[in-house]
Amino acid sequence: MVCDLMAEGRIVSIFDKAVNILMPQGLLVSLVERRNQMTAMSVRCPAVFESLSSRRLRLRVGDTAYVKPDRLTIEGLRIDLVTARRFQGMVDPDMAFRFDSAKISVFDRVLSTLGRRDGLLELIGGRLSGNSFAQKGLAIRNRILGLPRSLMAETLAEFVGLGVGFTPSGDDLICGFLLGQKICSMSACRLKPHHRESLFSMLDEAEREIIWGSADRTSDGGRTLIWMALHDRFPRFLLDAAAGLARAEGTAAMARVVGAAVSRGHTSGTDALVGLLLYLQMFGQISRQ
Amino acid sequence: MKKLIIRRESYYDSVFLMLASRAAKQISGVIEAAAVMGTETNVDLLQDIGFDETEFEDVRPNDLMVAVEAESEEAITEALEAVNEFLNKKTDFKGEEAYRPVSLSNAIRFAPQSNLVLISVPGAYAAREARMALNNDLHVMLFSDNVPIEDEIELKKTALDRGLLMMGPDCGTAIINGKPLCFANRVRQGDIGLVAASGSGLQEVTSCIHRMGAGISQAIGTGGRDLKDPRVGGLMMKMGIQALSHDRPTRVIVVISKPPAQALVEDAISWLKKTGKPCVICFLGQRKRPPEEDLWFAESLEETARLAVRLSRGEGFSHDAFAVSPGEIEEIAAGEIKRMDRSQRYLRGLYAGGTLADEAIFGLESEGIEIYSNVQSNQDFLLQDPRVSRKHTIIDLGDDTFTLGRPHPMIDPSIREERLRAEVADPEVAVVLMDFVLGDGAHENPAGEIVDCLVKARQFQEKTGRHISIVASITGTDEDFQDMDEQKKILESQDCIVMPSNYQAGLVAAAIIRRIC
Repeated sequence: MVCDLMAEGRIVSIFDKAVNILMPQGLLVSLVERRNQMTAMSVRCPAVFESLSSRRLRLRVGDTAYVKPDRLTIEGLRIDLVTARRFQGMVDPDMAFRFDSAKISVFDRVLSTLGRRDGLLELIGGRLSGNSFAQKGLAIRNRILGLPRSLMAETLAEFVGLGVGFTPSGDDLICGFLLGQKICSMSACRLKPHHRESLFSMLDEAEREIIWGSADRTSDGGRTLIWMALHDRFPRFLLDAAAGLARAEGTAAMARVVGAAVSRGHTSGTDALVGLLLYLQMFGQISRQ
Repeated sequence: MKKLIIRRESYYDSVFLMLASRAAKQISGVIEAAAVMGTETNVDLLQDIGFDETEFEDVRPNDLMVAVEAESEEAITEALEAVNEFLNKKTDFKGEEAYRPVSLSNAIRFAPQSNLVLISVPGAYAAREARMALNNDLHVMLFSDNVPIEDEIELKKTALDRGLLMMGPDCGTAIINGKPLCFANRVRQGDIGLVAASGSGLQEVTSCIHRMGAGISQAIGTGGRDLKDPRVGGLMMKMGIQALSHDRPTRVIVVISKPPAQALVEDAISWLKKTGKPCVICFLGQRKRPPEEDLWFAESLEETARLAVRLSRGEGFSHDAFAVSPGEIEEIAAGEIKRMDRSQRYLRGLYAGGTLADEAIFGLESEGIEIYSNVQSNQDFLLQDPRVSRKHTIIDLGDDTFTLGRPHPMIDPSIREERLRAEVADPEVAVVLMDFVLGDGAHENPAGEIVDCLVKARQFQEKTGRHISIVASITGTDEDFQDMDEQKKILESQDCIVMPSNYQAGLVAAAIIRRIC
């Protein structure tokens, strides 16, 4: 996906373990250090961060970056995209088939205990914090449950840009929500026909457009996350969490998976899992074959 | 009470934002604080819960908003100050001064005010870097050697076209606008400008000029081949001379070179004559010529400095305080001979500076003493094996034979130590001649590094009843960081004879050898 954005961008932020480049399409391409930071819009290049920390390389906010199909160049730095460590962010069908809705209640309990506050944890009945953003999120969630299918996308879009974080909580939630939908849709083909009707079908093109249309209301980070999710691409840490949940047997195992995921960012991990769980609670009726 | 601060287009990671909020919440009287992005949803929500809508004017999704609710105005102010302080502390990477760019393009970006590049990379890559520098309108000092001559010619021609200096390849010394580059000494500024195809020669002359009380305007290096190889044709020498002729502070021009190509000698003379300024030429090994118009010829580096200072200061200038008289030299030689064994008869010179070694060779040969060397131009006296001395031998320890895979002896004196031990053990050695070069780039304590070896040498000599004259010179000034006086004391404490210049050290060595023979 990085290569698809062939254009000239500029560095907008430099952190110890990530460098963000804003492309003209309003999306961020990120250079990241660690495996668990990867998304479909990132390139993993630990050597760059080693050079940055040892002062052998200097990048500055505002530096121009050129993205081409085979390379990414920033003044004095060239990253070969052909051989670079990239991540597609796609759901593994094998993981989807292993997902079992019987685990949902355990997942709920574990996430409520381990999830971080300040985000949207309250949407799954977590500890009440008096958080204004969570209260708003709760209102949106309640409306989703009572709405006809045709208004789903519009209501979901109200989460865009809501809450704390560089990637606002609502955007993380949407990402997790869409992952839940993707997983369920990949499992649906194994269900009997009458069960499929009760499942929430994948957003069609128009509905994706509605959500994407709201993405201008959020930060560059949030917009990029939503864009990837609308193209069925999800961050590595979230796919790893989903795969772990699919494999986990018992509360302890699930707690390890959830514990790792919620350590992501401030509340990003928690909010994404909240989105995943919400979807599974609302619509997931998957049984292992 | 509620208040907002907004940071435009601010990218902070979520954990940092959380910590910023926490910094505000810790203030007594704060009810709630949140650091959130300026998304439409967040703006709406904050307005819904009572933040004044006028505070959200022009807020955009990539702006950072820190919303604080507190019991009092004071608490709000304190909380916002705490957040601002926290946000201001955040830097991407610490300390611009710690940054060390590793590519020329990054260096140019980091320091766009620079106008000179000093390049020291393996020869195979040096020309490319130099070319890049010249194409970026930067002057070049190219320390690297093993650069193909075709590249040197092309680079120098490019530099000439662009009006830039292309000092090198194999240029180890320069002083530009008072700044010593690579191996160079700290000298006072003055009106004597120099162009040299000789590193240690330039150091010796500039140091002597300083110690004679005068100063340097510019000291431009050309690289060793500039006047030596007719294909290069003295391109940078010519440019350097022209630059000094136009340089207002320069009133006297000095040119120094190891033996140049004969075809280029007259060219250099004609370039100097065109400057209209008084000039001194030192082409080591060349027969001395009488002065022509305002052009003076010197046979030694010290004489070069003396002539230049006289031209700078006026005819009345005297350098007597600098030199040791011939009578004193003979006295020294006589005293040394008395302490020697009859078997001792040979001289060994162990030099770090190539031009200083050349000067010693020419000086001694002019006294009728045949000298073997690893840098002899006379093939009959070229050492077959530079590691083994023969009769009277002077070794340039900075030559490639000795520096392959090792630092130059000016940086690491240990290579001289090894050779000194071997020479001292030779029962036929009477005199050892050495140079000690101070200044930027050189070892921090060249005399101190060798003192243990000198102590052992003296102990060995006492045991065997042989005295070896160790004659030394120190190339440097009182402004060099190595402390020239201290260096002299260290050497004299080991019974070394320390002379004011390499030329005079050679005179003492010659006087001793003449008495032996």
